Amino acid sequence: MEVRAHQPEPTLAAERVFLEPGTSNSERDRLVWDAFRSGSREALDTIFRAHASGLFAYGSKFTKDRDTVLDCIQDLFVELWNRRQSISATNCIRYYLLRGLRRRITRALHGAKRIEMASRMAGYLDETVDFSAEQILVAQEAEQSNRARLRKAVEGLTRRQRESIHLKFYHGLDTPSIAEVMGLTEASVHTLVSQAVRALRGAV
Amino acid sequence: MKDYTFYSVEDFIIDDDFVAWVKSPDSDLEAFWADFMAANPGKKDEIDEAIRFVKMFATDAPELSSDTLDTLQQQITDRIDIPVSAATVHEIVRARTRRTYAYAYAAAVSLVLLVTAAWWRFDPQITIQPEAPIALTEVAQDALLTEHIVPKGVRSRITLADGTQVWLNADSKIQYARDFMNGGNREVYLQGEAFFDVTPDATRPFIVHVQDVEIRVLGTAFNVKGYDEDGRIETTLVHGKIAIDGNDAYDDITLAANQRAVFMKEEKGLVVQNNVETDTYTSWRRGVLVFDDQPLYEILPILERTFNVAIHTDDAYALDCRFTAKISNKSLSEVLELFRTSDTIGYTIADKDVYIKGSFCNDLP
Repeated sequence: MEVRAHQPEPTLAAERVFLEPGTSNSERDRLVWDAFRSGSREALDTIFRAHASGLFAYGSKFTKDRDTVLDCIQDLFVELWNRRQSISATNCIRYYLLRGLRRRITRALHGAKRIEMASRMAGYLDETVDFSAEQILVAQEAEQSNRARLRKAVEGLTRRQRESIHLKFYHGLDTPSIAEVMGLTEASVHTLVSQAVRALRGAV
Repeated sequence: MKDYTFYSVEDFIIDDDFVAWVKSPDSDLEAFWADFMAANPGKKDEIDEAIRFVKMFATDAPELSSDTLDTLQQQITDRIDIPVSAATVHEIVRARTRRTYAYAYAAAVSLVLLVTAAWWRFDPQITIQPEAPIALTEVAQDALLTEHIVPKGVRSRITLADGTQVWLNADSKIQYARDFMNGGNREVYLQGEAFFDVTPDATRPFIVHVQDVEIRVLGTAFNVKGYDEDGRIETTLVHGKIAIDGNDAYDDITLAANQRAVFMKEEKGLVVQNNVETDTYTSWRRGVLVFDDQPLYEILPILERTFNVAIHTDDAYALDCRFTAKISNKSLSEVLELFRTSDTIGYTIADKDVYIKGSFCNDLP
């Protein structure tokens, strides 16, 4: 490619990851992540393709500005790649990425609004997180009537309840991961999710 | 795994292993739940209802178009492949008096440019150290300039001390005082093209100096294009409001959102367009080239900067012919192919030179 002719060749991928049929999700994540950490470009591409859309969906709940979300995802991957030799192992890549993206977006919004927000800093995140129902939560396949009721019920939840069930049912994170991403204890996450599920079940 | 014998519908819904099985089953989970259901046929109703509930929530919806995904992936790849020092940062000493300043500054800049050019051309792996400050005795600490130079063929993004984000296009340069945050105004000097997303601060206006013009803003996002050789300065405002001081060379004007001002140096003229599609002028920062009914004499310099080549054409008429195109992260040969298929041209690429043969537009005399 002419445009990159003068740049150094990318480091060759470390050995490829071969996944046997029947490899468990956590085993697969662990292997792909290890390949990424040892410098595999193929692993980077695999991870990007598998998670970019989900990361965007999550990031978009914090700000309406598409470019900020896309930039944060870009920065996240570049930084992970640059620090690949010092990052820790994981068997849940999604959790690792979501946590990184949340920090990054919070920092980006924090920085941009630093001046006008200075006096209200403490409650900042709570004021901006917008897990609105109409944007995400409900699958197209769900029955029409149930969908409408579920949406309405989701709107009645608190922001933290919405974020917790988004992470649980949209991204499929387990309780310890949700706790890490949201900066809460596992017990609080359990409470949030239970309350939300009870409210939603009552509605449909 | 756990004993699920006494689980209620809600218990199942909240259970991590249950949700994992419903959302992304693997063979371990399938095997476990098949066994469980075979051993506990009485739990079938609860399990079915829990499954129905979990499935009401969407999984990863394709919220990003494949174009956007490709662009994002390319941007990540670009940043990984390009040496970190692609945009070189230098600190230049500015003396107190204007005359000395000009002298020292000119010397420093030419040195920097030489070094940068040589580095870029011959050995991309050498990282150059910031230039040693030119020794001037009565230089105060606050008189230092920081300079970012982005060579042809590369784009860059920087964040200033106030949080303002600056995307620099190929072959561009920005300078600002090192004590940027301490003065009354936030001032930067631009050559080339940049997109600014300025952090609001009503007490300290942000000023972009580009050639003879000063663009004064409070907090807003806008694109400025002012390459010396283009003979024009283009400002496109995405949101907010900006004032442009023509400094006697041009009229002063105020721009509102979606307006674009073009100062033409030779004619000393000014054109303001309303309701422009701002993305046309700002999408370069995502690696997308957009040409909206633009003549080749505008398009070719952009390709030269983007791909770090010199383009030679032997058809003088061709330069007036107009093209409309949107090109996402293509290589130079892919871009030339696009032009080739839309018209009767051939091209040769010889290292950093591109020779275009034939006529671009058939309908010209």
